[in-house]
Amino acid sequence: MTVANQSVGVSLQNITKKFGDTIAVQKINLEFAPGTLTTVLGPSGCGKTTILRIIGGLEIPTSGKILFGDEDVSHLSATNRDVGMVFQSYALFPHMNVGQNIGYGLKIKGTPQNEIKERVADVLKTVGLSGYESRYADEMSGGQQQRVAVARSLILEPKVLLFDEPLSNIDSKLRRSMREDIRKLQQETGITSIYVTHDQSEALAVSDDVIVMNVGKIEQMGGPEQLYRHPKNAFVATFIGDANILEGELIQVDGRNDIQLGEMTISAETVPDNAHVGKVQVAIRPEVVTMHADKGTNRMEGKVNWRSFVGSAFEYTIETSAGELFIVVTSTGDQFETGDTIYISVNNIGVAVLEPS
Amino acid sequence: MDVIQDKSLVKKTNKLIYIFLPLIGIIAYLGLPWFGLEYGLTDSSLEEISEGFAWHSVNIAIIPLITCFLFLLHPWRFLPEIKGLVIDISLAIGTVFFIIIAGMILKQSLGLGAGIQLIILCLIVSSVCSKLGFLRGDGFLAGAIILIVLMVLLFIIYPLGRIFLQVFYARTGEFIPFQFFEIITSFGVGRVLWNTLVMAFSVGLSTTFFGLVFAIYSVRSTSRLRSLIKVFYILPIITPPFVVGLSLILIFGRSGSINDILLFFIGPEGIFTPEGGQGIFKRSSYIYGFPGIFLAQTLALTPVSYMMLVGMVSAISPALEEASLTMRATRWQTFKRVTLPLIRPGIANSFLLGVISSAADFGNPLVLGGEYDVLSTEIYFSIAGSQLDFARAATLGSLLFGISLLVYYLQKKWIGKYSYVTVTGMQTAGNVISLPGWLQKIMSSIVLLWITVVGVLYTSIIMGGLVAKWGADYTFTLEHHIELWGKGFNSGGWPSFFNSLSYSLIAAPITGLTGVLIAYVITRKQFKGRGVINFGTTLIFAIPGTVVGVAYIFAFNTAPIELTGTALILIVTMVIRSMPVGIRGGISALSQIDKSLEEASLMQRANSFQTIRSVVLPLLKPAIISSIAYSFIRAMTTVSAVIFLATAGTSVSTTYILGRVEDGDYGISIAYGSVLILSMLFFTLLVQKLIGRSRTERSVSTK
Ligand SMILES: Nc1ncnc2c1ncn2[C@@H]1O[C@H](COP(=O)(O)OP(=O)(O)OP(=O)(O)O)[C@@H](O)[C@H]1O
Ligand SMILES: [Mg+2]
Repeated sequence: MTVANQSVGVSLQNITKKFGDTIAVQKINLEFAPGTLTTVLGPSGCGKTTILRIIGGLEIPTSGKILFGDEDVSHLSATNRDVGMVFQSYALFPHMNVGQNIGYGLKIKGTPQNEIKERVADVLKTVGLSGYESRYADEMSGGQQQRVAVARSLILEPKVLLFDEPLSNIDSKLRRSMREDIRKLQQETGITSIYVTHDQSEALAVSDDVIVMNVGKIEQMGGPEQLYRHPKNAFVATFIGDANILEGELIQVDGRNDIQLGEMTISAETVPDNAHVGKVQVAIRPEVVTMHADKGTNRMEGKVNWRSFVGSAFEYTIETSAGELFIVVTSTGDQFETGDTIYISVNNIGVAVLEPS
Repeated sequence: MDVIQDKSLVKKTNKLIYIFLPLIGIIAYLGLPWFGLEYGLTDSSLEEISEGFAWHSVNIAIIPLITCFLFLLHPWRFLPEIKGLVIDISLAIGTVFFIIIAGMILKQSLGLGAGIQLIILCLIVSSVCSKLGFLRGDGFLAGAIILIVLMVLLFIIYPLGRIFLQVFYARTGEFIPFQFFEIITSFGVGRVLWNTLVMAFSVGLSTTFFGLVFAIYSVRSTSRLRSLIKVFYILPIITPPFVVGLSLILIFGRSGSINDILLFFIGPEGIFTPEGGQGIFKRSSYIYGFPGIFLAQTLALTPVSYMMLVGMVSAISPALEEASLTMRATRWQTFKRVTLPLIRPGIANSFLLGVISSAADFGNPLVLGGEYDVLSTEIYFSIAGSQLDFARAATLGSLLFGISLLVYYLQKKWIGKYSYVTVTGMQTAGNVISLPGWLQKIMSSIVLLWITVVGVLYTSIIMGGLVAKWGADYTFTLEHHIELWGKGFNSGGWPSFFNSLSYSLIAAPITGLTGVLIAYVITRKQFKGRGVINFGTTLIFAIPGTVVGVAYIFAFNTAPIELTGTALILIVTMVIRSMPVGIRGGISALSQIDKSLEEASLMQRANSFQTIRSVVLPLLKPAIISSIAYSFIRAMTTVSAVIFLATAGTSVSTTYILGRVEDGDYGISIAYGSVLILSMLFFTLLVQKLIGRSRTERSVSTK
């Protein structure tokens, strides 16, 4: 597989898409850096597929511009956009075998037959399906079909590669290894890729950047860790991983930001620009809360309301003066019983002050 | 607008615009008659054909020739790109207008050469548009859309326009603005309109009633008769509509079987005839008029209603009815309160379709009408024979078209956008609730009666051609068939049969492929101006055949487009008349393949044309074959429009048969009709066999 000689970035400028009265995507501005893999994450119907299809040229935006590098491609149809796409249903042509499916684009281009053969074999090797040329789609497993679809999208060495929930038809065991394969392939080829999924662990695992969407709008874009540690709002905080959303008070002491939560004071790592001193919403990840039997310093009193065992961990619901907290403790640590009075402390790495809504 | 920047695409488009298309234009000028031929290409003498060539003298054809050379030389290639493209477009459009207007003013009719030049000029326009970014560079799509629009403009809008114009002009050419009102208030028109509406309404009700009975019966009954129903709907499809009318005459007519039987039992004097009296029993002609038309249309149109409703009935989830039953509703209550309301939209749809089809039907009223005049036949009689009252024909035509369009609009409005897609006979398996016993008994007797009537009618069609004179002399004879088929290929039924066959063979593939193309454009593509195409297709669906016939007489009788009397006009008519079948077939075929397959092809940088050729067509092969076959049958059996346009030299089977009916040769007509039905039946079975085989090929699915 040859590596793309130069990757291009993709930018969407003020993209809006309406279907009749439904606004599927609203005034979106996005930059996808050259050579990166970005996932678009969001609940069903939030407009992920629509964005992908707009980039691919399958859907015409109601307004706005799409650029590949410096080139405005808004007026180009899918045929002329130089984009590859892996469909959720794979969309393998049922009347063609694997070789013909993958070689389709080359044949359309008028590439000589023997060159097509070579390149098909080449790309099949890349996806680990050497020798499958003469199979038909209905003679292969879902995972194999998926890899054929990936091979087909790669063979024309597109500027941009799009994936629409490529793993949603594959069982969860296989999904893990396939997502790693896709990521490796993407890094080898360096093709700017955009990957739609509604599975947050898939998104965090494969991508350079993650975009979280909700009802046609971008909620937040950033690296996986950044999103996890500094969610901007309750939607992002709860959509990526679990979070307790509590009300606290932002106070400033000697130019340092602290969060007053019940009897506890937590130093805030970062605070959004538009947050003011006073009442704020705070997101706390369940795994950064620790329970203690003794009061200690800077701890908050609570009562165990509920405990359940989920294999690798215990999950607790704790009643405190700041509200109810959901926490996760690895099964190897100290455990408490329902009804116990305990004291909790919080590691500030997993605490984020949210933007006022 | 931004000009397309893709280099290879631009190169390809340029080759098309500046080399291929102009070359074709020049070849058309040199090699084809540029001017119209009086008798069409096939029936003209060599001399006449050679006179049609434009290079005999200097004439208007020189202008498009110069245009072609200009494109070939392309002297403005050094101008800035946008300016060049503007010159391209203005030159092409200008030339198109020049050809049409000059033809109109100089009263010179245009021939094949000019037609091809017009098409290539339009293709140049569409290619340039695509270069300008219209449809985002998809030249094929741009071309397809422009050709579809052109087709609709030329063969639907323009003729309709001519009809409306004709409404305001007297035979003398005088302009009379209120002629329309004069005519519709004139004696007789009110009655004709009333007759048409009463008939249409009654037939709408009866076809819906019987269609519903058959649909429910075939899905829900436990009787064996239900398997027969699935067979019976094929008969009306392969039967020219008026042949049912003819067979009704054989059975119920003056010298028909029923009269014979009555006569046999009652005797010529009647049982209670007083002595010396005239006899009470007279051979009655009760079948002519309302009863005959009503019966014939009900028989012919019920299968359409059945096909529309059966899909709906079988799509009802048994769970809904089971839910009702578990709430202690009886089966009858369930049927009345759950089942019927669920199929109400289908019922409305079927009713409206019945109304339209009845109002548009021409053959049956012509054969059976008697004193009962309806619009479609009145239109015909206004210009047939010596009447030649064009204004009246145009007015009545507009009226009929108006009614049809109104009902069609209602249907679309109530039933939703693509309701014509749902006419399929799809059955779902499942544990259906059976009918209440008494209901099934009633339905069984209706179905049995129906099957008996249809059986008797079709038997009489076959037998009618094999006896000397139905009603008078039942001796077996091949005389009619020998007269039709035994006197050489140049007499009897052969010439018209060959005409029908050859025109239909040309028309059917055009219809099938155009139908798929239109379906593809209206269901799969978003572009500005899609509404125009939607509107155009609606007109194709709504326009009654008689209106097409009259409109074409007005539109294509004079320069610049003089087509009447040629085979071409019949082929065009057949294409337009069977286009609804083609479009419907295309839409239902397209709905079977996953849209993402086409999109995957586009993403592999295939354009629309390559996608249709390499992905859509191969996957749709069986569906398209059956759509073409169906279009072929429609073309073979269509009457209403062609009867206005067929001449002695271009008569087709249906017009030939109707001609013999008018002469009173029932034996001959029915003999021909039976042959036509049998050959269509044979053809249908053949096609089904072929498709059945290809069905076993790879199934169309993506997972
Ligand atoms: N062709 C269409 N016509 C009308 N509405 C549409 C069309 N395509 C999408 N929509 C609407 O636009 C919105 C966004 O759809 P989209 O398919 O982009 O969602 P999604 O985020 O991909 O959802 P999912 O996770 O379920 O695939 C939805 O409300 C949907 O109903
Ligand atoms: Mg989606």
